[in-house]
Amino acid sequence: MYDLELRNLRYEYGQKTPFHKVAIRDVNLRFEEGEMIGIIGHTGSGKSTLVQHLNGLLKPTEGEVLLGGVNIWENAKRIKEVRSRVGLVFQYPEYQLFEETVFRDIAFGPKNMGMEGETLERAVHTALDFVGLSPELLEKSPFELSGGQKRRVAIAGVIAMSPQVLILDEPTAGLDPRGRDEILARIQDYHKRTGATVLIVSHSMEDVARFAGRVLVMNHSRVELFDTVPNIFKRAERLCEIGLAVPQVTRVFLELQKAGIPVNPGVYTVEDAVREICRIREGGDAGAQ
Amino acid sequence: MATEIEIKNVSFRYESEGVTDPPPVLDGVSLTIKPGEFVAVLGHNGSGKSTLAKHLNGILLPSEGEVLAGGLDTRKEENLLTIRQHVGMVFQNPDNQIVATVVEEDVAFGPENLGIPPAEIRDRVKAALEAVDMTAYREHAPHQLSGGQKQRVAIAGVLAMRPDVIVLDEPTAMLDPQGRAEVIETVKKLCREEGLTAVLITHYMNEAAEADRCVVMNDGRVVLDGTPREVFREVELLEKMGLEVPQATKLAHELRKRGIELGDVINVEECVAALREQLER
Repeated sequence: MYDLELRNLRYEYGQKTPFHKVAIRDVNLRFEEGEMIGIIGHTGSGKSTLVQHLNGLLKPTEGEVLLGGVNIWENAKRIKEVRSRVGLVFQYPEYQLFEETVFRDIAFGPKNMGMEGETLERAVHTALDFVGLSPELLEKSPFELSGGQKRRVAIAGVIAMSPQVLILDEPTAGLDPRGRDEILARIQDYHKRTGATVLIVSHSMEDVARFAGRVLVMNHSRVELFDTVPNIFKRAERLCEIGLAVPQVTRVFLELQKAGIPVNPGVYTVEDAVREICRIREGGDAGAQ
Repeated sequence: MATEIEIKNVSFRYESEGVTDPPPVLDGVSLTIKPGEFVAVLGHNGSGKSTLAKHLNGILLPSEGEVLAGGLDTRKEENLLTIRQHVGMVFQNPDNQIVATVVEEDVAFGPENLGIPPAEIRDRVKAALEAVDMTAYREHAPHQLSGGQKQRVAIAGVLAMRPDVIVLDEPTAMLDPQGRAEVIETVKKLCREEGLTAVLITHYMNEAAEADRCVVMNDGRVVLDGTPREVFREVELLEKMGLEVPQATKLAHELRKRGIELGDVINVEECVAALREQLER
């Protein structure tokens, strides 16, 4: 079982210095096995700190992280195993490539886990396939690749460890719409084919609405909301209040509602917006979902 | 000072060993950027937009054609120092552009290198930090700032050189939504209030909506050139090129197909106004 549970999680840093800060407090959450979760919040809300707890990169000041019901810090010597079961792809992972060839870069993680020979070879090829890169690139230097290719190599390096939980911190940052769609489609494919639990940290509510089953909204070191996408967007006004960039159509519908037009303000895609406008024009019932 | 930039039939190829006749990254681009204009250059990754930006102050030189900044040819080495004082650049990664450990020292770095007298440097730094609304942070360490704030410091560093054109190469790509909004507001203000020319390279259409003029690049060529309203009308063409119009524009476009006319909407405010007119009747 690879469900993840956080109990009374608290993380503080810089204790006894002027920079002392509580980065996470009172976090109680449960992610079920095989879920696709979006994590959103503005810079400094604690979302990156939170995900770094899930694979034991950070140790909670208080509280517990449970993977499959077992506290990951129960036996600190086994934390390395946790890190291969819970793979974390950092922001701008392309800056962390360092090996001489693409093959060696992707192989670095699984090799450290003790994989070798044909098993290693197969893991690297499978991972490369998952991110949609051609095997011809394997003998190239990662530094010869384009930015988008480099990012995919970095993601492949984590996928090669076949993590049961895959966490990506802003995997689409800085990409154009096509590059973004491509990466998100690859991650969705990994999710579907392996049944892994996937958590994606994002700044874009529009992206999150497209891929996530449930969304975790962090605000000021705490969990603000944790619910399904439609239920999160029903709280659009609150999302705006805490400084999140909601989709343009959501803002349009909030404004229409303020102007006294009986619209359902929980709209977040253009298709839903078109349907809702047509319905109102035809004099249908307001607020129906 | 008013520096006009003329790009005349420019083609560019990256020369690499062993490759004969590499494909052009820029392919016959002609554009004139008028003093005081706020121009957004749009395109997907690989469309040539950043390569074009690097031609504006001679970081890259055309393989064919010419670029004139204030009438000076970028291919002539003796012109480069003057051109770079008039045409400043801001890059994507804020962390790569900051050199000093204190904000005001960082902003002073450019003018110091130009040999400006200290008293004038002080005035320039003060004015530049005011223009980007970062005066309150002048004694802070750059690493304590947010991404948007760092990018504003980078812009101040360019302003302190007193350029008349500022070229921003995807300055918001690495920022969060709030940082993005701060940078775009700053650029707008510099154009409107300080009379600067701004060339903004981006793939965010909602940022381009704020500009006076939008130039869309694809495969090294200029495909569209007009006001945001004119350019955003081409929803299908833009999507085919891997760009996304803002949701408000897309909504108006989809409603038009169903006989509901909102006009050429480019932002949330216009969309709300047009919808109210339709629905409150």
